[in-house]
Amino acid sequence: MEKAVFEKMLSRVQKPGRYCGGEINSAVKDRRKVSVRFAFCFPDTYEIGMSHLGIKILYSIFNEREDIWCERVFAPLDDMAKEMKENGVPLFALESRDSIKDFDFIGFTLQYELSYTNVLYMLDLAGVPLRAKDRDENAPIVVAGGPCACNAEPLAGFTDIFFLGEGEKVDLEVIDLYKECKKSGWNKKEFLRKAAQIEGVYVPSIYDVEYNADGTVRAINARDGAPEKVQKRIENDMDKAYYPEKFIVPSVEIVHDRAVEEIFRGCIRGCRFCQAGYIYRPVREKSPDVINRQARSLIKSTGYDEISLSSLSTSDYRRLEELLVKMLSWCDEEKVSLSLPSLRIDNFSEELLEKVSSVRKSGLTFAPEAGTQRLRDVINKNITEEEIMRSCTTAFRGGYSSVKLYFMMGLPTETDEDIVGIADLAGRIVDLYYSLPDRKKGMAVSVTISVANFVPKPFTPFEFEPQISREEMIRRQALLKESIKSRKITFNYHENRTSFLEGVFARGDRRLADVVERAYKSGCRFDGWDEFFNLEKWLAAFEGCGIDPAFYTARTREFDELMPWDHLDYAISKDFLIRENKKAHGGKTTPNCREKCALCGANTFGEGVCFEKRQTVL
Amino acid sequence: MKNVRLFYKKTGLARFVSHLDTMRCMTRLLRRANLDVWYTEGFNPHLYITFAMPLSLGMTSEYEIADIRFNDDGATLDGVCEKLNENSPEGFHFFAASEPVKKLSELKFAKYKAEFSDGGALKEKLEKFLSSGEISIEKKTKKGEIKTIDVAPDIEKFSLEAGDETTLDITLPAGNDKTVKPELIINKFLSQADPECYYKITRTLLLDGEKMPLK
Ligand code: SF4
Repeated sequence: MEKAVFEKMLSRVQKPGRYCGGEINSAVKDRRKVSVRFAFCFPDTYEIGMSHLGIKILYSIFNEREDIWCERVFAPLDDMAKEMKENGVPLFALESRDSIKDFDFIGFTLQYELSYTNVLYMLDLAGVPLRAKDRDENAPIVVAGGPCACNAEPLAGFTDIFFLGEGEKVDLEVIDLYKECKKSGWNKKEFLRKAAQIEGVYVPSIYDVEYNADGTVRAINARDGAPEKVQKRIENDMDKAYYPEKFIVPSVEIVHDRAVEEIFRGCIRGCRFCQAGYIYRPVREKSPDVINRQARSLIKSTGYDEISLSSLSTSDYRRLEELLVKMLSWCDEEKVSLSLPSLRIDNFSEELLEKVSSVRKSGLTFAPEAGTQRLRDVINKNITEEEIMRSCTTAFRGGYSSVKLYFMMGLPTETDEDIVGIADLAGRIVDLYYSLPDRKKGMAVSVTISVANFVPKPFTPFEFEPQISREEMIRRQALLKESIKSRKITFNYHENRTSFLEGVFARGDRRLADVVERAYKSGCRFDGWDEFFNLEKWLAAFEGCGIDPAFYTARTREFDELMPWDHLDYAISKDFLIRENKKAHGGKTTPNCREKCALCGANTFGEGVCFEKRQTVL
Repeated sequence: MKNVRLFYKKTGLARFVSHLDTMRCMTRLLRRANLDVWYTEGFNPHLYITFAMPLSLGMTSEYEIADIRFNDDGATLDGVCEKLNENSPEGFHFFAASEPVKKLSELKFAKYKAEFSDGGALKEKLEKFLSSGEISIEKKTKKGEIKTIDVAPDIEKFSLEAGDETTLDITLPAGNDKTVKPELIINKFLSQADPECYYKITRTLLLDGEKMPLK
């Protein structure tokens, strides 16, 4: 693309910096000297995509190899898409500004279901045929990974390869196979057939799905010698796993603009609604020395003055104190602030709390998720009101005056009492504040309740459960609103229309491909953004395809129903999920992995928490 | 402590990095370069850096100034530019580091170059427009009211050249006392002459009261 044309286009769009590339630590290579070109696409804006850790890890891993050039691609907003169309510019990669239609691979990371139309949007802007079957031998191989790959069946028709689990190794194995194929002159079909033999690779086109008359799945049959069940991949030893020494430092502001150091993968907790808590099992920790060393090199190479520790639940890192002492010893001196998201204050020593608060802290947040103890037991959220009150007391005495509480609405077995319970709990926190004589004077307490809609997800004990209707979501939101008595309580809730669509796709099957395509063609994109989401167009797309969305959301699935994702193996056994579901309905909790192994199946990897010595045996 | 003035160019696509983003970029760049820079004191110390004059989004520049401080009085300035350039994103280029001669508040004027993709067709009209003796521009005041002002008397100097494109060199007030943005004048002109015309502005110099480069 001509530079002058490009500059002209940029001068007409909002936030042009997001399309420029050229950031520090980005990979610029000689296109004649590489043999594989990989377009790493994040189906959302630059600001969101660049905040994501996975893309940074894979980008570096690819580019460490001299024969691969991995570049970044983000979804352009409407104004830029219009400029591109008018100037005849197809979707290009940030580093080289070459059209990605000529790349070897186009890879998407699927972080949320509502980005599916953007996958089509980006392929379309690139000038690549949407359906895998319409792409010829010269077209790029379209691959996808990320959490949604655990059931991206709605995208099966558009994708050549899905990567299941963690991509560090499997992606490179597939690239190596591709190089071999090119050398040996095998065609795409042969390449895909061979790729399907690699652990962690799911080639949807060689799996046939049959349906029953009632619309449920009857059978999923593997062809061409592909495995009946495709296993996810994980990194076994986190201390040896690849971690980038450098991050690209964006020249324009992004959502999470800081260095990020991953401290462990997986989660011991087993909250029954949380997909991340299951698909990333088992918990595998990095040791404090490794974390400390990696963090330090990131700070050096990026110049960031903030680093955040990343995991699903920071407080569950076993050697947190040791780690913080190590890190704080240089962070202070180098004027780096350390942020610890998802920190539970309760199991923290006062002294350490002091130290952390000398650096930046994100404020006091709790995620009780449900308003009553009964419902918290159902969802296995092991946090009691007593704990919340105790932590609030400590924090209020320490000068805090605002608390944020996260809840979910529409959880299995939820009644109006549970909804009112949310308001009551918040009210008791307000009362607690004013009952403390040693609180900070002259400050008003503020309690914020954030409520998200529960969406049942595959590979969780609630994968069988119905999702409540939009009408019911609205009714419960209204009930909660009128139950809030204090003006010190602020109530935020999540958009119900997008939750509904998320629910359809989360447990969707291949037949939804037509709906996604139709919705995209009618103008749907950036569906995760309230300002772009268009429910009417989506409903019209469902109707036009003769598909009832309620089939995917409103039904209770029997334990023996074959799920569209049952040929994908995330090392979470179906028996375990059924056991957990039954316990949920019986109001029984399950101890976390460190207290007692619940035999979920993830120990097949022979690593991590499953093999830790347990201190307490319940 | 030693005051240090950095001179740099902002070229190419870096013109699309806003002033706010440029400040962030600079801080990180200085940290990467591992220079012994001074931080403000107090509860929340931050790297001390002051810019002579924000550059509008979309403009390139040949002459930007940022002041920082080194902790060490005796610190040498040799090699500072090299270190910074090694750590710069595309489009940022440092060409001098020296002790400030004048205060940043001595900044009075800025010189700009505007290039129009007009095939040279606009030169005469532009010349007429700029010498017409009255150029009224609508400007928002701090209170949000719209005020019409005449900027013709503020044009210190201009010259025009036409080849494949018309090029305008113009000197305007810039600094604490008064700033006139060149894009306001150009947009006003183009709104009458050729609203579709694409142009690009480069700030070529920052000048003191004597119209000498600010050093
Ligand atoms: S096998 Fe046991 S310890 Fe391992 S992840 Fe599953 S429940 Fe946790």
